[in-house]
Amino acid sequence: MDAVNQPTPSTSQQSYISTASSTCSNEIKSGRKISRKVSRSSVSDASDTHLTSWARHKKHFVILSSAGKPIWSRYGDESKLSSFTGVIQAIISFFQDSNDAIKTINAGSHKFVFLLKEPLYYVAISSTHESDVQLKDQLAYLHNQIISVLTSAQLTKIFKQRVNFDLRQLLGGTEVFLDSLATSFQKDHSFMFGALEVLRLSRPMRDQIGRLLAKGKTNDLLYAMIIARDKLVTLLRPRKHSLHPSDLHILFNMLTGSTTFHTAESWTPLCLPKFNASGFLHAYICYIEKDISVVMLSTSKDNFYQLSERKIKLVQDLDKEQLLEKLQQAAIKSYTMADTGIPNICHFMYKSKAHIQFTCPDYTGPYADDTNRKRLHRLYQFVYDRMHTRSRPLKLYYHRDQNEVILGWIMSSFELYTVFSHDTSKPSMITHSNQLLRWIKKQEDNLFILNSPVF
Amino acid sequence: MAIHDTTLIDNGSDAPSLGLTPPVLSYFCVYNPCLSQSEENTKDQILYYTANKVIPADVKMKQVGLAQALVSVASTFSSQPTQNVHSQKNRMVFLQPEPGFWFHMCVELGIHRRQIKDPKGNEKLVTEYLDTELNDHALSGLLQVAYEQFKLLNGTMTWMLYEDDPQDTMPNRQRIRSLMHAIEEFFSSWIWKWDFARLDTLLFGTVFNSVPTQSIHRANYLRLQAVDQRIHQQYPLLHHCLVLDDKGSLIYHSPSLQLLDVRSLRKYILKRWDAYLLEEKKRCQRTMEKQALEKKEKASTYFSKPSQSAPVSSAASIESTTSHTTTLPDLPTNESTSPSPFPDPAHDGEFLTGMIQDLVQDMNGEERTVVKQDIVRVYLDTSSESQPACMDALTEYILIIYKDPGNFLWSFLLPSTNEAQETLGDIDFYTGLEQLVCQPDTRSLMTMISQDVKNMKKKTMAVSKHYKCFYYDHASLDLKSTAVDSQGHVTMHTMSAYGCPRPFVDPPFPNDILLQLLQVKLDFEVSNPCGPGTEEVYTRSTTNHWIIGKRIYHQQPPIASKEYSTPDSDDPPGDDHQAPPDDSPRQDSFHTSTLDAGSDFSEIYLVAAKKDITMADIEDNIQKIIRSLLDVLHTD
Repeated sequence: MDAVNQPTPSTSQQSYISTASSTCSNEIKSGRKISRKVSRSSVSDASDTHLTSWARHKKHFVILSSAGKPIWSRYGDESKLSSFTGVIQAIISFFQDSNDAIKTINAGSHKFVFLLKEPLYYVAISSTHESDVQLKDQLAYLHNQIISVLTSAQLTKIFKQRVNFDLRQLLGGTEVFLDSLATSFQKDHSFMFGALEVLRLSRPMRDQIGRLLAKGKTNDLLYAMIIARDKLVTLLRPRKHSLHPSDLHILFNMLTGSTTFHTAESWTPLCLPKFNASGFLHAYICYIEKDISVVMLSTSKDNFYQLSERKIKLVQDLDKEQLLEKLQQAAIKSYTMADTGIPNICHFMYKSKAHIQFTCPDYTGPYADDTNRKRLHRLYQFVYDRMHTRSRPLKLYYHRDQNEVILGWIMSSFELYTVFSHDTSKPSMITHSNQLLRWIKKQEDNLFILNSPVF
Repeated sequence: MAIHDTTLIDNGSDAPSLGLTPPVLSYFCVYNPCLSQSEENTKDQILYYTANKVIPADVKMKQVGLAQALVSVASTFSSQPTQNVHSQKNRMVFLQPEPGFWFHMCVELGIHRRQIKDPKGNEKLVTEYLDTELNDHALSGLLQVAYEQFKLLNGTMTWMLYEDDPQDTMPNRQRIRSLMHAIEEFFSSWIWKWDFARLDTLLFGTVFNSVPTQSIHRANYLRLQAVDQRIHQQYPLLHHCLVLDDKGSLIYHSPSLQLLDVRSLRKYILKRWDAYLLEEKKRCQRTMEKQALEKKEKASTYFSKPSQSAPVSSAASIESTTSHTTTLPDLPTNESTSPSPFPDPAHDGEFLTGMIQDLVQDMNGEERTVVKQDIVRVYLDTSSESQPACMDALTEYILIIYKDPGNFLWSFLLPSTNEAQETLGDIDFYTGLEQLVCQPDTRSLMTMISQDVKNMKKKTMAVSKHYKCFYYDHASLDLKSTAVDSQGHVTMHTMSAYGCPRPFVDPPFPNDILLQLLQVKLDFEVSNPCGPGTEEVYTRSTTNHWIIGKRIYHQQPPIASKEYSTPDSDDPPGDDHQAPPDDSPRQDSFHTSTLDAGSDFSEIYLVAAKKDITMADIEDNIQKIIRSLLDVLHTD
């Protein structure tokens, strides 16, 4: 639907909306998306209430082409959303016509956030109270996910040749990763922090695993890493290259977002947008134990057998020293507040700015409960955003409500968010936060990867 | 169709390549989509349109069309209407004050242009659009306040269009035309005075939308109430009464008046008061110029004589020169002592509305005082239940404002009946009312009250040396502040008068701090997921100023220590705070006008620009400050 040349957008767009409601009502229940749809959305039988029930989801992500064609939607079948994406495209182009760009619409507790990355448009529609910046960052992750499948060069080329191209043909099958990303934003703070979560492990053991990973020489190998669940164990990298956290997030999302990789060795082309948005790397992915995977990235597409052999040797080496077993244990139980020996602190998040890594204890006590944990997540998100407003950043933020007290504290080398019970006094908060900082300093070796092996 | 695009404002397109361009209004419109029934007459839905440059009709239609498309898309997802849209260069703001009616404005963002060096060392011009400097809540508040004032002076738009007719029929043309006329008359003059760069004037008048109240001694309050009752006995037509001081603080209002009406009335009265003061100032200037002119003429004739006549005594010439040099520089101060042909505004009572004296120039250029009628009609919600959407609840009143000799503003409300009209045409009514207000015992009461005001100001000055505090009570809408400007005026008065910002020499806070303060206020709001139940927020910016907010919920068992959690600010500070609340008529009136359930809370904000202070220090201090703040804000 081409709405670029609408002289009076008002009336025509209203009719788009009404078409949207009728077509969306026939939202199909077949096709490859059925499984993920059923799991998350309540598929209503009454067809005319369908758009409303679709719209009622708390947080939508929709991707469309700059011609207004739907590409992906977190909920529902995107092919039935073409009227809606047509309206969105018309609105975006209205602003573009006057050399402007739409950023946000606020309506009550709902927020529409737009990210325009020609030839694709990304829209978040959310009532989760996340900020413009947070939603925009999440849209950027979705964009990176698309790039990781197609590369930006290929994307531009396709749409240059055919503006009306249906990108879904090329994405085929990788939508699950967009789905899993969309879900992860709500659970995983590494996206918000722009940092990596590292498995807590004793320094000698991490070093030992790193040495074993670095053993041997494979041509064209760029990076190698071991991952326990979605926490990094160790990373082998060339001396001159580090890996951008957001590239690692895309990679981790691939591991957790699909069960494809759990059963067999895989070899897949992959573009890491921050590393090089216009070209592919090749990823060797293999689960060597439940929850523990090895990932090796190579610049050559013919490396599969060499890397597979390298993995076999690695597993033998790890087994010889019973490291695999120990690693699994460490992955199952990270650490809790009790391990720190500091009373009164209910939970905390600590980000080491220098290492772009963060750590937090397992959720225990009141936060073992789902409702409380969700509230805590929201509180962390809220405080993080409050302190990182670009125009008015804060050094310190203290917030007390009827449930808990949180103290956010940003210094040049770290960010610390500490949660206490409702009635904690301010002097005792300060004392215990300082105690916590000393504990983290002492544990730094175990909590973070301070020196990753290089070659 | 009265669509206005003639107002041309320099929107800074000629600004120097480097520097700051403030945000300006791009366009503002009022529309109702129900007013156009087919595609050919979509322009019928626009009731008012004004822009900062000439806009072709088709572009106007596109803008309104886009506004409706945005609202429509959002309504698919949200049950609440669209409030605003951010774009790279503009901010669009929406308000639907009555079903179907939309206020919509677009503000061009402020621009910061600067020269930077890129990594290669080349100079580069960077244009930054200052989106975060323009606060959504302040803008929405502005439209809301504009609507409240419009409704005060005109009643609801729905009523104006349909009255008792069913609303699915098309209103008749005559009604549409008179509504368009009312909107134009209301907006055209002051909409271009909105200063989006001045958050201080916006924030306290719109976001808090408060009614700064002057605490007075309880005994004085009761005496004032007796005066109100006496006036009502004498003139049963005067239904309600409202008294403000010359800085705009509420001193008294009849318990029968709704608090929200008091809020709108206060703003309107202050607008009239400002206009009056401006007129007085002009009048004084004219008098001075005239006197100067007369003296000059005299002097020149005096001096011309010696030049013409040869013999002259030296003594006379010395006398004349000295008198000449001493009188001229003294002119401005002499004015009050010399008998002036005009009444000194400080010492005379005067009606600002009703039957008023006006100065006109006759054909000879002579100024003459004439008496004319200036009848102001207002629409108030006199029903006891709060039914904001119910237009039938609005009742038409006539507003009479009287400035007494002590510069207190007395406002009286008469129901708009034929009887009232007749009364208002009779000059004896005004003299009688003036006599009643200016009775000796009332005068002495008002003098005591001004003493209360002065005492409070003195105490305020003492605290404000170190900290700036705001105290806001949501149930009474009272706002108190210890922020004072360089002349010692408590700045909240200046800040709360909307639409007529009186510029002050030193803004109490830069926008930056106000934005941070506003953020802290929003941290308590229910719309924020972490807002409900929030009691305390401390923030310290990277530039090291602390802004602390505390919300005290009065309906819950006191969480904070008792001495500052008692809602004693609601209470006209009695001699000892121990008066049983049930015999306090003022408190009763506040209880009936409580806005909504769960709104009984107070907020205290504190700004401290101190570098070498820790959170524990602040905590120690804030308790003391809050205690002394509440103490200071009372006049005991």
